[in-house]
Amino acid sequence: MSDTQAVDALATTITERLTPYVDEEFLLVDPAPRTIHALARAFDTTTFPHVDVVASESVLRTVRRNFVLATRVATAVAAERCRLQTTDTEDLSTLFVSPQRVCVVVVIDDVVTVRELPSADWTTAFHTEARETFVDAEPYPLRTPTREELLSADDSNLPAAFHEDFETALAIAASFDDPEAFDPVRTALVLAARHAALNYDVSRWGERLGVASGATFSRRKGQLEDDDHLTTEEVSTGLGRPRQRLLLTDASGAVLDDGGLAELLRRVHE
Amino acid sequence: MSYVDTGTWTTWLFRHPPDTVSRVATAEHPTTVAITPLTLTDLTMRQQTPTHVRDLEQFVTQQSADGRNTPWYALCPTLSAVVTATRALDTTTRTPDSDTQTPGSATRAPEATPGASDTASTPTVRVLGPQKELRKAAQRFPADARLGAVTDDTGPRVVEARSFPPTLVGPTAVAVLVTARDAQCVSVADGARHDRLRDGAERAWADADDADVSLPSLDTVRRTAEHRLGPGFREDVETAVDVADSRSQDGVVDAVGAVLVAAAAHELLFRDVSRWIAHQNLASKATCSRRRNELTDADVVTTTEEATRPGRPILRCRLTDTARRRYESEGLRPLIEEHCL
Repeated sequence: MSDTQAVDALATTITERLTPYVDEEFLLVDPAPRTIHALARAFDTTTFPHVDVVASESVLRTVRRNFVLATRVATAVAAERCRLQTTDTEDLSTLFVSPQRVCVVVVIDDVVTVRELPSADWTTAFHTEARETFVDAEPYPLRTPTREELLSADDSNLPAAFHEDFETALAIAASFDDPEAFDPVRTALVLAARHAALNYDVSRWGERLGVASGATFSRRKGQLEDDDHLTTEEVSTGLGRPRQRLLLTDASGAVLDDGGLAELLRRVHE
Repeated sequence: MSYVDTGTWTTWLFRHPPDTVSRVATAEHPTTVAITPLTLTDLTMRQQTPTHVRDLEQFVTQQSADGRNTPWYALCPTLSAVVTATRALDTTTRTPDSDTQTPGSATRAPEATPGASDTASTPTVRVLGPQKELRKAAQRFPADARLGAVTDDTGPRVVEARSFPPTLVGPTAVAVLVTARDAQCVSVADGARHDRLRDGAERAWADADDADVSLPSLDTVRRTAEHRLGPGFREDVETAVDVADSRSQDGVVDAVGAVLVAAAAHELLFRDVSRWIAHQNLASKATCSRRRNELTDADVVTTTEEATRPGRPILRCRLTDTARRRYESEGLRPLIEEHCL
C-alpha cells in the first residue's frame, strides 16, 4: 500500500469514526505526519468536529515541508477548525480524545484502525492528560498561506490565469511520489513565466503570503535560468531601474505544448 | 476491576484494590472471575508494578497458553515500549522450575491465570522498533537482556517510528498499550481485528531490516550467573531485575554496578566477575574497572590483593564495613537501590 493509499484509508476511517460527534471538541495527540494528512482530508467534510493537534516538533516540521499538506492544514487553522501545538512529551499514544470519548489510532503496515475505548471510566483521565499536554505545549507557526490566499487574485498584480494554474499545480503536486519535492517558489516562477508576468510581481506576491522571501525567489529564478527552464526580458518602467519579465524558454514551451503543465512541473522539480 | 466486553475489542481496566483477593477475567470467559489468595508481601510488591504492566503480563500469560508455536509480534515505538513489552514477555520465562525468586518478588508472574500452563515456554517474539530506540534499549539493563532473550532466534528489526502504539500481537489476540502521560490502559482485540493487525505485523516484519544491535540474553545471564559465579549470584541478578522493575522510574538499573556490589557481597574475584560481565555482553571490562573505582569512591566496594605465582596479584571484591553491616541486616536490595539506580 502506498503512502497515499494509507492516508486515504486513514482519512476514511477518521471521518467515519468522528463525524457523528460533530458537536464535540477533540484533541489529536501525538500524530504521525500521515495522521495529520488524513485529518486535513477529513476536514473537507463540512460536518467534522473541531480537532486541536498536539504533536512533536519534528512531525510538524515534516508537515510544513509538504507544501500542499501545509496549505490544507493552514486552511483548517484559519477557519478555526483546529490549532497546532508542539510538545516534547514522549509518553503519548496517537489518540483522538474528547471529554466524552477516547479513540486510539493504530497503523501497522497497511492496516489502519481507529478504535474507541469502550469504557467511559478512562475518558476523564485521558482527556485531562491530553488537555494538559496541549495547554503546556507551544503554538507552532506553520508559516504557510491558506489555499484561499494562494488562489485568490485579490490584491495580486498577477493574471487570474496564474492563480488558476496554481490550483492545477497543487493538484498535480498531490500526485508526486515525494510530496516534499514540490517547491512552491519554482512553481510560482514557472507559472509566472508561462503568463509572462513580472518577476517583481510574483516575488512580492510570494513574500506577502509568506511563501518565501524575495531573496529565495531571486535565487530560484537564477537556478531556473541556469537549467534553461525560463528566461527574462527587461521592461522599462520610465523611472528607475527596468523590471524583468519572466518567460518560458523555447524548450520549456515545447514541453508544455507536448506534455502539458504536469510534465513541465515534473521537469522543473527534477 | 472492570472488564468491558464490546464484541471483538475490549479494554481491561484493572484497578487492584489493596484487598486480599485478585481477580482475572479470561478472553474465553470474560465474566469469569478467579479469586486467588495473595500474601501481604505479594500485595506490597504488586503495588509497585504499574497496572498496565500487570495487564500486559496477564495478556501474555493467557496468550502463551493459546498457541505455543505461533510467533508473536511486539511493536515498540519507544524505549519505554521496549521496557514494558519485554518485561511483560519475560513473564513466560519465569517458570517454577527455573525461577528461584523469593515469594513476593515483583518480577514473578501475576495472578495464576485460569487456563495458563505452569510450564509456559518462551514464545518466538519478533520485535519491531525504530533503530534509535532499539539502540537505547541495548544499553539499558534489564531491557537489553530481556530483548535479547525474547529475540534469541532472529534479533529485532527496524521500522519507522510513531506509526503505531506499543502493541503485542499474540496467537489469538492483540494488546495495545494506550498512553497519555500518566493515563494508561491496555486495549485488547481478538477475532477479525486481531487477524488484520497480525497480517499487518507480518508484512511489516517481512519488509523490515535487521537492527544493528548487540544484545545479552536474560535467560543466559540467569543460567550462567549461577553456573559461573555461584548459586547465590542468580538470586542477586533477580534482585537487580526486581529493583529495575519496582523502583526505577524508567525500568532500568546499572547492571555492572549491581553485579559488582553482589560480587563484593560474595567476596568473588574481580577478574571472574568482569569476565562474566563482558562475556554476557553486559559491558566491557574497561567499564567494569571504571564502575569498580566509582563504587570504591562511594565507600561501598573495596578490593584486596591476592598473590598469584607467577603473574600479577588478583583482586578480590569485598564490601566495606559500612556496606557489609547494611547487607547483613537488610540484604542486597537497598545497596542496589542506593548506588545503582
